Amino acid sequence: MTTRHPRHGLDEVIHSPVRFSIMAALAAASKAEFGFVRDTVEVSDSVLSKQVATLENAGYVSVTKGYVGKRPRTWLSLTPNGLTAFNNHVATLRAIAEAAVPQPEE
Amino acid sequence: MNDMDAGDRLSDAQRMAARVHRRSRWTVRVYAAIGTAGVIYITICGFEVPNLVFQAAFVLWIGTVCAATIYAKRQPVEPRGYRRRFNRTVAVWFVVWMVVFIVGFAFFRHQPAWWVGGGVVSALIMYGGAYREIREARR
Repeated sequence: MTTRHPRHGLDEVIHSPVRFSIMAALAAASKAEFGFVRDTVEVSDSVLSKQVATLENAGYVSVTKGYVGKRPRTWLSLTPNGLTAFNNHVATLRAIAEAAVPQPEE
Repeated sequence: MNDMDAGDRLSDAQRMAARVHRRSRWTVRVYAAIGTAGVIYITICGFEVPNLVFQAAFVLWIGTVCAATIYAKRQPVEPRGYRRRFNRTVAVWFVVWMVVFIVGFAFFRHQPAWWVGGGVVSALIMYGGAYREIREARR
Protein backbone atom coordinates (compact mmCIF):
# COMPACT_ATOMS: atom_id res chain seq x y z
CA MET A 1 0.00 0.00 0.00
CA THR A 2 1.34 3.45 -0.85
CA THR A 3 0.75 6.61 1.17
CA ARG A 4 0.13 9.81 -0.74
CA HIS A 5 2.92 12.29 -0.02
CA PRO A 6 1.72 15.54 1.60
CA ARG A 7 3.34 17.56 -1.21
CA HIS A 8 0.42 16.55 -3.46
CA GLY A 9 -1.73 18.83 -1.32
CA LEU A 10 0.28 21.92 -2.24
CA ASP A 11 -1.54 24.55 -4.27
CA GLU A 12 0.36 25.28 -7.49
CA VAL A 13 -0.91 28.88 -7.63
CA ILE A 14 0.28 29.69 -4.09
CA HIS A 15 3.44 27.65 -4.41
CA SER A 16 5.50 30.42 -6.04
CA PRO A 17 7.57 32.19 -3.33
CA VAL A 18 6.34 35.69 -4.16
CA ARG A 19 2.70 34.65 -4.39
CA PHE A 20 3.05 32.71 -1.15
CA SER A 21 4.43 35.82 0.60
CA ILE A 22 1.60 37.95 -0.80
CA MET A 23 -0.96 35.43 0.43
CA ALA A 24 0.75 35.23 3.84
CA ALA A 25 0.66 39.01 4.25
CA LEU A 26 -2.97 39.22 3.17
CA ALA A 27 -3.99 36.30 5.39
CA ALA A 28 -3.10 38.42 8.43
CA ALA A 29 -5.11 41.40 7.18
CA SER A 30 -8.70 42.12 6.26
CA LYS A 31 -7.30 44.40 3.59
CA ALA A 32 -3.97 45.95 2.77
CA GLU A 33 -2.87 48.75 0.50
CA PHE A 34 -0.94 47.83 -2.64
CA GLY A 35 2.09 49.87 -1.54
CA PHE A 36 2.17 48.25 1.88
CA VAL A 37 2.10 44.74 0.37
CA ARG A 38 4.82 45.74 -2.12
CA ASP A 39 7.09 46.94 0.71
CA THR A 40 6.27 44.00 2.96
CA VAL A 41 6.95 41.39 0.29
CA GLU A 42 9.90 43.42 -1.02
CA VAL A 43 9.07 43.37 -4.72
CA SER A 44 8.61 46.02 -7.39
CA ASP A 45 5.25 47.45 -8.44
CA SER A 46 5.30 45.53 -11.72
CA VAL A 47 6.12 42.18 -10.08
CA LEU A 48 3.38 42.65 -7.52
CA SER A 49 0.86 43.66 -10.19
CA LYS A 50 1.65 40.57 -12.23
CA GLN A 51 1.46 38.18 -9.28
CA VAL A 52 -1.70 39.77 -7.93
CA ALA A 53 -3.30 39.38 -11.38
CA THR A 54 -2.49 35.66 -11.26
CA LEU A 55 -3.99 35.35 -7.78
CA GLU A 56 -7.02 37.38 -8.82
CA ASN A 57 -7.60 35.13 -11.83
CA ALA A 58 -7.43 32.12 -9.52
CA GLY A 59 -10.12 33.74 -7.37
CA TYR A 60 -7.84 34.05 -4.34
CA VAL A 61 -7.39 37.82 -4.16
CA SER A 62 -9.76 40.69 -4.74
CA VAL A 63 -8.60 44.12 -5.81
CA THR A 64 -10.51 47.25 -4.83
CA LYS A 65 -9.71 50.73 -6.04
CA GLY A 66 -10.72 53.83 -4.13
CA TYR A 67 -9.61 57.15 -2.77
CA VAL A 68 -8.34 58.38 0.58
CA GLY A 69 -8.86 62.13 0.30
CA LYS A 70 -7.72 62.91 -3.23
CA ARG A 71 -5.17 60.11 -3.39
CA PRO A 72 -6.06 57.00 -5.37
CA ARG A 73 -5.48 53.79 -3.45
CA THR A 74 -5.59 50.14 -4.40
CA TRP A 75 -6.61 47.67 -1.71
CA LEU A 76 -5.87 43.97 -1.79
CA SER A 77 -7.65 41.33 0.23
CA LEU A 78 -8.03 37.57 0.28
CA THR A 79 -11.33 36.12 -0.87
CA PRO A 80 -12.89 33.40 1.34
CA ASN A 81 -11.62 30.85 -1.22
CA GLY A 82 -8.17 32.40 -1.05
CA LEU A 83 -8.08 32.20 2.74
CA THR A 84 -9.17 28.56 2.67
CA ALA A 85 -6.60 27.72 0.00
CA PHE A 86 -3.84 29.47 1.95
CA ASN A 87 -4.75 27.71 5.20
CA ASN A 88 -4.77 24.35 3.40
CA HIS A 89 -1.42 25.13 1.80
CA VAL A 90 0.10 26.03 5.18
CA ALA A 91 -1.33 22.85 6.72
CA THR A 92 0.33 20.86 3.93
CA LEU A 93 3.65 22.63 4.51
CA ARG A 94 3.41 21.76 8.21
CA ALA A 95 2.71 18.14 7.33
CA ILE A 96 5.80 18.06 5.10
CA ALA A 97 7.97 19.70 7.75
CA GLU A 98 6.70 17.38 10.49
CA ALA A 99 7.07 14.29 8.34
CA ALA A 100 10.76 15.10 8.02
CA VAL A 101 11.35 15.32 11.77
CA PRO A 102 13.27 12.15 12.74
CA GLN A 103 11.39 9.88 15.14
CA PRO A 104 13.18 9.03 18.42
CA GLU A 105 14.75 5.55 18.40
CA GLU A 106 13.36 3.02 20.85
CA MET B 1 9.67 20.30 -2.11
CA ASN B 2 11.78 19.08 0.80
CA ASP B 3 11.37 19.67 4.51
CA MET B 4 13.85 22.58 4.50
CA ASP B 5 11.79 24.40 1.86
CA ALA B 6 8.60 23.78 3.83
CA GLY B 7 10.21 25.10 7.00
CA ASP B 8 11.48 28.18 5.15
CA ARG B 9 8.04 28.86 3.71
CA LEU B 10 6.42 28.59 7.12
CA SER B 11 9.02 30.99 8.56
CA ASP B 12 8.33 33.37 5.69
CA ALA B 13 4.61 33.26 6.42
CA GLN B 14 5.27 34.12 10.06
CA ARG B 15 7.56 36.97 9.03
CA MET B 16 4.90 38.41 6.71
CA ALA B 17 2.23 38.14 9.43
CA ALA B 18 4.57 39.82 11.95
CA ARG B 19 5.08 42.77 9.58
CA VAL B 20 1.35 43.14 9.13
CA HIS B 21 0.80 43.04 12.89
CA ARG B 22 3.54 45.59 13.49
CA ARG B 23 1.85 47.98 11.04
CA SER B 24 -1.51 47.32 12.70
CA ARG B 25 -0.64 48.90 16.03
CA TRP B 26 -2.68 51.93 15.06
CA THR B 27 -5.78 50.02 16.19
CA VAL B 28 -4.56 50.18 19.79
CA ARG B 29 -4.08 53.95 19.50
CA VAL B 30 -7.62 54.39 18.17
CA TYR B 31 -9.16 52.50 21.10
CA ALA B 32 -6.96 54.33 23.62
CA ALA B 33 -7.73 57.78 22.17
CA ILE B 34 -11.50 57.25 22.12
CA GLY B 35 -11.48 55.70 25.60
CA THR B 36 -9.41 58.51 27.10
CA ALA B 37 -11.34 61.37 25.48
CA GLY B 38 -14.58 59.68 26.56
CA VAL B 39 -13.60 59.38 30.22
CA ILE B 40 -12.59 63.07 30.31
CA TYR B 41 -15.89 64.16 28.79
CA ILE B 42 -18.08 61.97 31.01
CA THR B 43 -16.17 62.99 34.15
CA ILE B 44 -16.58 66.69 33.40
CA CYS B 45 -20.34 66.14 33.05
CA GLY B 46 -20.44 65.23 36.74
CA PHE B 47 -18.98 68.49 38.02
CA GLU B 48 -20.41 71.95 38.17
CA VAL B 49 -18.03 73.57 35.75
CA PRO B 50 -18.30 76.79 33.71
CA ASN B 51 -20.09 76.32 30.43
CA LEU B 52 -16.87 77.03 28.55
CA VAL B 53 -15.10 74.05 30.15
CA PHE B 54 -18.03 71.80 29.31
CA GLN B 55 -18.00 73.02 25.71
CA ALA B 56 -14.24 72.58 25.46
CA ALA B 57 -14.56 68.99 26.71
CA PHE B 58 -17.29 68.36 24.14
CA VAL B 59 -15.12 69.75 21.34
CA LEU B 60 -12.20 67.63 22.57
CA TRP B 61 -14.41 64.55 22.57
CA ILE B 62 -15.90 65.12 19.10
CA GLY B 63 -12.50 66.19 17.76
CA THR B 64 -10.85 63.04 19.08
CA VAL B 65 -13.50 60.77 17.54
CA CYS B 66 -13.22 62.56 14.17
CA ALA B 67 -9.41 62.51 14.27
CA ALA B 68 -9.38 58.81 15.20
CA THR B 69 -11.76 58.02 12.35
CA ILE B 70 -9.64 59.92 9.80
CA TYR B 71 -6.47 58.37 11.22
CA ALA B 72 -7.96 54.87 10.89
CA LYS B 73 -9.11 55.56 7.31
CA ARG B 74 -5.59 56.54 6.26
CA GLN B 75 -3.88 53.41 7.51
CA PRO B 76 -2.45 51.09 4.85
CA VAL B 77 -3.48 47.87 6.54
CA GLU B 78 -6.43 46.64 8.55
CA PRO B 79 -5.82 43.54 10.66
CA ARG B 80 -8.05 40.56 10.00
CA GLY B 81 -11.29 40.73 12.00
CA TYR B 82 -10.60 44.26 13.29
CA ARG B 83 -13.83 45.80 12.02
CA ARG B 84 -15.97 43.08 13.59
CA ARG B 85 -14.14 43.39 16.92
CA PHE B 86 -14.29 47.19 16.83
CA ASN B 87 -18.02 47.26 16.04
CA ARG B 88 -18.76 44.87 18.90
CA THR B 89 -16.69 46.91 21.34
CA VAL B 90 -18.31 50.16 20.24
CA ALA B 91 -21.79 48.60 20.56
CA VAL B 92 -21.11 47.61 24.20
CA TRP B 93 -19.42 50.93 24.90
CA PHE B 94 -22.37 52.85 23.39
CA VAL B 95 -24.86 51.03 25.63
CA VAL B 96 -22.78 51.88 28.72
CA TRP B 97 -22.43 55.47 27.49
CA MET B 98 -26.22 55.80 27.09
CA VAL B 99 -26.92 54.31 30.52
CA VAL B 100 -24.39 56.66 32.14
CA PHE B 101 -25.89 59.72 30.49
CA ILE B 102 -29.60 58.89 30.73
CA VAL B 103 -29.48 57.65 34.33
CA GLY B 104 -26.90 60.26 35.26
CA PHE B 105 -28.89 63.26 34.05
CA ALA B 106 -32.09 61.81 35.54
CA PHE B 107 -30.83 60.88 39.01
CA PHE B 108 -27.18 61.82 39.56
CA ARG B 109 -26.79 65.30 38.17
CA HIS B 110 -23.67 66.92 39.69
CA GLN B 111 -22.76 63.77 41.62
CA PRO B 112 -19.17 63.13 40.52
CA ALA B 113 -19.04 59.55 41.85
CA TRP B 114 -21.58 58.37 39.25
CA TRP B 115 -19.91 60.16 36.37
CA VAL B 116 -16.36 59.24 37.28
CA GLY B 117 -17.44 55.61 37.75
CA GLY B 118 -19.32 55.63 34.45
CA GLY B 119 -16.38 57.24 32.69
CA VAL B 120 -13.98 54.64 34.03
CA VAL B 121 -16.27 51.77 32.98
CA SER B 122 -16.66 53.18 29.47
CA ALA B 123 -12.90 53.72 29.22
CA LEU B 124 -12.21 50.19 30.44
CA ILE B 125 -14.35 48.81 27.61
CA MET B 126 -12.19 50.70 25.08
CA TYR B 127 -8.94 49.77 26.82
CA GLY B 128 -10.17 46.17 26.82
CA GLY B 129 -10.61 46.48 23.06
CA ALA B 130 -7.04 47.78 22.78
CA TYR B 131 -5.76 44.86 24.86
CA ARG B 132 -7.65 42.43 22.64
CA GLU B 133 -5.98 43.88 19.55
CA ILE B 134 -2.57 43.39 21.17
CA ARG B 135 -3.46 39.78 21.96
CA GLU B 136 -4.74 39.17 18.42
CA ALA B 137 -1.42 40.43 17.05
CA ARG B 138 0.47 37.96 19.24
CA ARG B 139 -1.59 34.92 18.20
